[in-house]
Amino acid sequence: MSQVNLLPPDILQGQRYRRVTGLVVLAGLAIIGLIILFYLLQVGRLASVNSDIDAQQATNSQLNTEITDLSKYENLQAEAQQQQQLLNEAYAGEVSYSGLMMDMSEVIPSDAYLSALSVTTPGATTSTTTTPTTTTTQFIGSMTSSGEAIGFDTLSQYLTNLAGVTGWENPWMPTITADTDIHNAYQYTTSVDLSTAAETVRGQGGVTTGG
Amino acid sequence: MGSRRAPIIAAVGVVIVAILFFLILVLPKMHSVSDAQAQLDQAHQQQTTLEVRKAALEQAKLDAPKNQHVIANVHKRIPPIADEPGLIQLLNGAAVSAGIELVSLTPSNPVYDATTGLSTITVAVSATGSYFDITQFMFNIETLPRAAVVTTLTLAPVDQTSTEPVLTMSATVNTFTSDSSAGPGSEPGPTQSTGGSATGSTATGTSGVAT
Repeated sequence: MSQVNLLPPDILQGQRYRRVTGLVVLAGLAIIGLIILFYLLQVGRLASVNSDIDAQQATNSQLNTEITDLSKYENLQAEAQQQQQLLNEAYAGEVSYSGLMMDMSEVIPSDAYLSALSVTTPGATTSTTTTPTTTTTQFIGSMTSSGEAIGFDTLSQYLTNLAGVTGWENPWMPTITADTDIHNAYQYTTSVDLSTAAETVRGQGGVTTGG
Repeated sequence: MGSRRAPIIAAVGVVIVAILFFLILVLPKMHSVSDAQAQLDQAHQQQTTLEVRKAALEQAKLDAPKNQHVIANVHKRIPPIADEPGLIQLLNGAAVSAGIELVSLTPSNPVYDATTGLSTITVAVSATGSYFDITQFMFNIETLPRAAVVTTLTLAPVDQTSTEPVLTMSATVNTFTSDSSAGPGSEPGPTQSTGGSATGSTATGTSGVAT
């Protein structure tokens, strides 16, 4: 037995449109609900991140306070470095004159003697040291001496000995004059260039304040 | 006709409302979260930097006794004032200890060098003694508690007839002070360099001490 819908077709279609419209409105509300949910999530996340920022800033603030308290030690360290630099400057280029005189006493042959000795090193206002421009060795001073020796062998040995001392370079004997009063005796003068190897450890920047 | 358009109008309305919600509510909040996250990252990085700096300062704190020792030691070697009385005593003590006889001490006015931050007091020393006594005197000078650097030395014979020849010694010794304005006519008391040019005294005259 067939059923007959007696509702007019335009009313039926109107009902269908209203259902579709209702569905669309419901779907829209659901989407807007999702958007609001997402918004709330963002609000929560923002609150969480802001809270983290506050905590982090508190930590940083605490660190800054500690750093401020400790900065005096940094100033102390800077002052110590500055003072150490002053000391390095003061001793820069130092040559041990006592060591130099001991070396001289050791290298002079037994049948020779010194009558005069003159040494000039960095810091001397009257330094007259001149060095050839072609050399790569850096000279820091010079030493001249004069005296008398018996025989040319002694003079030669003396020059050889002078060359054997660390930092003493280019030993030279510019004048050798026979002593008319003493047989086989010769008056001499010598010159020696002093290189950076003659500097003390602290003269080379290794000064320590330990003692 | 109106019923037929209702779902379309509803759909368009829903889309517009959804877009408006997204643009007005969600998007600014997302930007806020993003900004806050960047701020948090920056705060984290700042913490890392601060912790590194704090660690360096902690090390400086551990080194503080050593740094204080360095400063005290440098102040002893390079006093903050010229201290000529102390200098004379030190040089005289070195001579007495070595057994040489001081003939004259001529301390020049301090000369300030802005490059090194040091005022140099050049002392011309004349004395008489044997070669090895003078060697000992040089050693004493090199080991003084105050920084002293010999820059020139000249030895010449006085009396060659005795068993141990007596020599005259002329030496130049550089001593130092961190006082940038020292000597006659200068600002009394210690004056530290402020990074400007030399402020050392320009007064002339020397004080000789005969023994």
